[in-house]
Amino acid sequence: MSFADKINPIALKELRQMVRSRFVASGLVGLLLIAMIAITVVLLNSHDELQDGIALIDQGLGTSIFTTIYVVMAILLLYAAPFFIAIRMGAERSNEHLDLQYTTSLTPRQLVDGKTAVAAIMVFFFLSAVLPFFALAYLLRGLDLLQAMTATIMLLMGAIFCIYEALFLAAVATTLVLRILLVVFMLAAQWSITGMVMGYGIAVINSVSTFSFSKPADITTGLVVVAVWITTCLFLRAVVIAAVTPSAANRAPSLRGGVMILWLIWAIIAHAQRNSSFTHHFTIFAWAFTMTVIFTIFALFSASSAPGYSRRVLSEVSPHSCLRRLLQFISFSGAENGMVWSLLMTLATLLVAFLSVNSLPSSTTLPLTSIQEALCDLTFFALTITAYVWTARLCWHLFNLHKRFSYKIVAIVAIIAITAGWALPWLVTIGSHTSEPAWVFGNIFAFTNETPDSFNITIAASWLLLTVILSHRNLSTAFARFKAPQQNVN
Amino acid sequence: MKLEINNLVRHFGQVKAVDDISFSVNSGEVVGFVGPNGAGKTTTLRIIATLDEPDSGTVILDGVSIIDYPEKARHFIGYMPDAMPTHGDMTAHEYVDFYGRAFGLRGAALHEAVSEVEAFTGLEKIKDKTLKSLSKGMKQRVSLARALVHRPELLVMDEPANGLDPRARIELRELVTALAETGKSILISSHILAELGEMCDSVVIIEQGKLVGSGTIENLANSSVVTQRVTFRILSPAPPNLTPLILEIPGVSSAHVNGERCTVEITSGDAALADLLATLVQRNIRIVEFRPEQVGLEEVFMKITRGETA
Repeated sequence: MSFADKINPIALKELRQMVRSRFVASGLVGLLLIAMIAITVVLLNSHDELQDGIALIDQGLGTSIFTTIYVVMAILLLYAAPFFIAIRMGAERSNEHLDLQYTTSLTPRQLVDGKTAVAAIMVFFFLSAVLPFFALAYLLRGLDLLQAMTATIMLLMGAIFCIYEALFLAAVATTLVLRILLVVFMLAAQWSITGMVMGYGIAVINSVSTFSFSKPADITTGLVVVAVWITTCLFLRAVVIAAVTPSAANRAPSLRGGVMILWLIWAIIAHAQRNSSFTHHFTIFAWAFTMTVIFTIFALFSASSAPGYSRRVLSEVSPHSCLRRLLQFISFSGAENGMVWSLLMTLATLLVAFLSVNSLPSSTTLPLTSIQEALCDLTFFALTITAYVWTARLCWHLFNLHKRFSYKIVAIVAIIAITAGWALPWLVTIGSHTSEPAWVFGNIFAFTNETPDSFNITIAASWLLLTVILSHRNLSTAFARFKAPQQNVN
Repeated sequence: MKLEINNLVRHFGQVKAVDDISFSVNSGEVVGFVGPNGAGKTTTLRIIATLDEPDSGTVILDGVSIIDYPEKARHFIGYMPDAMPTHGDMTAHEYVDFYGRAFGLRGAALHEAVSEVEAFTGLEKIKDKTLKSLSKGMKQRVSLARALVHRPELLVMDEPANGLDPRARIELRELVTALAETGKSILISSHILAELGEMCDSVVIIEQGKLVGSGTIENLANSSVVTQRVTFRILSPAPPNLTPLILEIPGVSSAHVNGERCTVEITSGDAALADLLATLVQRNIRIVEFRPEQVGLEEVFMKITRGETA
């Protein structure tokens, strides 16, 4: 079996196309040209110092050369490569190529991994092209190997992240308007990522910020950064796979399964770090907050889906075990299914966060009260926002709005309501000298900061509970429909 | 391999694109799928190709529901969409090779399948040319090769003759005929009805998403819906009562007598045709020539459909 037979067919196709791509050829030539010009300029500038008797090797020119090439590489890898792969993915989606590929045995996962692999190969290809210049910079002194490697690894991590981000945007942008909006968003996101990578990279190269394996704090920070990077990339990958999977397919289980694995891993890390003097047990708050936001986004997506199931989803429902069917209901594709899953995961997150913080030893010297208060605020936030989403969905059923408006705008309505509810306390206190507006996450029932946390949480929980109870008919209808095909036959 | 489509329904919002369609395609059969623009042809073909899901109804391929188990069915279906291949920077060979790999073929099996399909579709001489440099006819051959590379039992072709010049159309027709001879089932939609009539064993006609006729072209022509014209010539000038005599025959809708030549239109198929001939013989009218005109798919189509869309 040849090498070509072992690799992903999408990767092979993309590699073949990449070889003929003008973009890649011109990018490579441009990169080499700029690198050569940069070195020439730096060497010419060193001419005066050479005449003054300072040897080339003692001038520390490596830093200048490395920084120049690093900046060019950052622009190429963080902008050009992701845009290239976004265009390739966008072309697949717009020209019915994707449809054709879905008449084959290819899976969405192969498609996404193939594209990612080729983009990663392109990144390494560009990097290997400038390696001789990096080596020259190192030989000319001014930077040590660890600095150069740290900066380069940062660049690679940034590039891989940007590739996933570009794939995500290309996968979800199915209309021209959405595409334009997402390109603008992408430019803004790339700007901040490039700034971050270049800023940190240049700081490392110029020894403003140093990394050392002998410092535990550096190692911890490095590990956390790598873990966050891996998590974000895996999350984006799962979302991209779900986005390019045909809508009739049961795409939720793998996505939700992936999110739950990441949820668990990060819960363990956050719990393990909760008593660390370095992170001050706010890791558990950061974990709970991030997860709550993610589950809210999932709830918004689910709330914007029409009820009912595709036949492919139903064909995977267990015809025998009721318990299994119940578990499948929570994990399978479907509007109500997604909302229930998001709600359960949000509640589980809050529960785990409270248990983790309350399990801290009583001898701890850390400010326990502040994290408990933060968790109370988070609980209030999570319950209120979830209540908004469930209320918006409920309105669509109670007032038969689905007959006039698409379910697709439920999320938009919920977001507008959340924003309005958040602003209302401020609005009602305009001109008042006696009451202060409250930071209440859109709970219109809580008016001032003086309102105790427990009261706010009770109000939010009651509201959410009420919407869930009122939604019982939709939930039971959804569960009744959620049956294996043979059970549907009368 | 038998394809059975039963009570297929597909809505797009309020529009019923496919409305309770049922038909079947047998092994080795070439079935034409015709209808006006927007009649629901492409939607039906996309459902069969596993690219879309119906709201109700079944599509069974040799006992396997392609709606419930699309992954299984894909190995047996070759789909040729109406769009030309647009990977302009790939060569014809690379394109076909990619789809072979996409169907899980590797090594010698892949090489053999690609070579075979390139030879069948006549791509051998142009296999190293990029797709953007090929003519429409050649691109269509590449598209056909792509659809055939995994040796499917059922070939679904959506408007394959669109935009092709006469030579390319004839070549495509020859390829379809050759494929049918190998035992493959072929479902083909086209606007070029004259050519479809020559290729197909039977046709399925839909309009506004509904099935309005199906069967062989002869059967459809013989049905009461379609008027068939027969011309006959008699030895001596026609007797004066010939026209009323012919009009008395059940199924005859009109009769025009012009000297020795008569033209009769009948609406109830072969029975009326036989009755007409028998009546003429019984009345001792000496017939020199009796020629029912062949009804083509175009006539059948025009009679059955009203040019309305779903």
